[in-house]
Amino acid sequence: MHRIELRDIEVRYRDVLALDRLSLTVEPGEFLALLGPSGCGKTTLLRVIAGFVPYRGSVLFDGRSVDDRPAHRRNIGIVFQDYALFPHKTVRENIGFGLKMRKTPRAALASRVEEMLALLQLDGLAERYPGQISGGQQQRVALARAIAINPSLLLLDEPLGALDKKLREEMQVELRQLQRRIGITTIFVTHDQEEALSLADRIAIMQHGAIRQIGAGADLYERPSSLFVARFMGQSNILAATAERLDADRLHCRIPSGETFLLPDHGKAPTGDILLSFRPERLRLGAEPSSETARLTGTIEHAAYLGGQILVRVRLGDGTIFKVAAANQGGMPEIAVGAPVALGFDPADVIVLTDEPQPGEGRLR
Amino acid sequence: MRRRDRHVAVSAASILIVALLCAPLIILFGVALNAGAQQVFPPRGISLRWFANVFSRSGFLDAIPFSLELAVLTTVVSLTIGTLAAIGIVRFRVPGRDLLLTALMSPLIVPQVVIGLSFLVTFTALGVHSSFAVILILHVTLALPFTVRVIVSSLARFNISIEEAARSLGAYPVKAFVTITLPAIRSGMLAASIFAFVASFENFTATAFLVWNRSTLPVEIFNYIQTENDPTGAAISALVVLTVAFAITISNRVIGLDALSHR
Repeated sequence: MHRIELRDIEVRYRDVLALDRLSLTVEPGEFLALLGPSGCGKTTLLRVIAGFVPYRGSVLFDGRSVDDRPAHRRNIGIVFQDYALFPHKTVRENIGFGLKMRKTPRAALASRVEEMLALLQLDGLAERYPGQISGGQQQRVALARAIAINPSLLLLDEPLGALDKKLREEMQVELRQLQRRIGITTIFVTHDQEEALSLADRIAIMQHGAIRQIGAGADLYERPSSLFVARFMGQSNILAATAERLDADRLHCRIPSGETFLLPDHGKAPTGDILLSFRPERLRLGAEPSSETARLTGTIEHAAYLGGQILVRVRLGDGTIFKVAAANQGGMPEIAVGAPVALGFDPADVIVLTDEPQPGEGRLR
Repeated sequence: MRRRDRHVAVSAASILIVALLCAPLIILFGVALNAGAQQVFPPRGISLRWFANVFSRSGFLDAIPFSLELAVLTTVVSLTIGTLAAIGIVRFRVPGRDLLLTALMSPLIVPQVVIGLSFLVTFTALGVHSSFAVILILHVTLALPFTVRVIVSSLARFNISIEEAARSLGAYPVKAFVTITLPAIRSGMLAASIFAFVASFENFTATAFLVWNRSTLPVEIFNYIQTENDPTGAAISALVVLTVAFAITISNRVIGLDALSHR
């Protein structure tokens, strides 16, 4: 198991800053997901670690710099988005390729390939060509080929993206079990937040070539540090508000429609403009006001019955649209479009953000 | 027109075109098989004597290996240069890339008479006499537009992450290209070699300016029919057609223009 450290990585494509002095540490045996919208630099970062793109800064494996080592001497296993299997080689030759390049003796090579075939349940497919096996099997061959060389690090570039939903979920479980069993440090690139949440120990959220926030999935979801992260992880209802004053650990907030709440102190911006983020599943339709909850009022604009839950769009007094995901627990009040409704919430569930509510924020050069 | 009539019309047009393409070949073979000394079609009597006659003429016996050697070397050289040029064009942002591509393609546009003449004038001015090497340079120039085109398009369609996968597994860049990329684009390489071989083997116009006391097969055939009027010219031409068809069929079977059916 190896610790991977990135220090001040900078990559520039002509005028575009693809990676902006990015630093990151991946602990031995950790499964880290790089998550972000397309163009955020996550794939570039993977290619930097692999040694495919020139960069400034430093990549360290267990404290030793690998910057002067070209791709073929970094000992990294990579699974590409499209698997990149060698089309003219059999499954066996594909898996054995890395060992052959390492001049592994024939007997050792053969037994390692057999071990990989068994580990990834590819028995019986060894003599097939990549074009003769299914997408899921190709995926496993790509994984076997990457692991066969006993790499210091495993890099996965959206490896499940090409699979259908059901197969993808199966492969997620398989991948995670495999990673734990062989205990290999793994970096996984994805734009699918559910995939990141279900697989990774930690998630790094990237935007504009930088990491916006890094932490366990629950941290990012419950305590996003910015509007970007709040919006990117799950759904958020955002409401502009003014923090008026802080007293006795309570933040007094006023929203544009004039209502005021007391929120627990989030340690940010005691006064001034703030943004409040409400998760759709933490809002309750038709709640009576009590000492535990605060509430907003509005009218129901649309309701969609989805079986396990009901998605309701509510227009607040100032015109803001809120999405509410109500669990279908039976005995719910009738949801009539156009009817006035109260939205109850626990002040502790409200996320206070200090970003400016502008799209495309971040440093652009 | 009704749909059925249109169908008939299209079929008739297709048959006509195929017939027009095949007719010269059929006539060529017919003339070559004549028993008599006249070049007539349909042949009067069937005989292989003119085929046998090909191998009794020292001109042809010299021109056949000369042309084959030229074509093989042209294929090897233009494939090598074409592959390197294609790598530069596809993989790197070479300055003057478009200019390079245009220069490589220009032999397709410039009339062969002009190319042949300019080679003659240039080499004469340099005091270089015609030789195998001079004609080889000419043929490589003529073959390059085909090889570069075909290899550039194969390489551009090739998924670069396959080569990167090889590198990540421990193959240094040249090794990854040779062991992984080249075999993966082998149908394009085969097509490029066929083009190069044929461009050299069949060239007449430009080559005619550079032959000396040795000459290539097409030029030799032309020289022959200038003075002789028997079907030997048709026979050697028929042999050339058969050889080329055979070579293409065999290489197609062995390497396969569509060998990548398993992706």
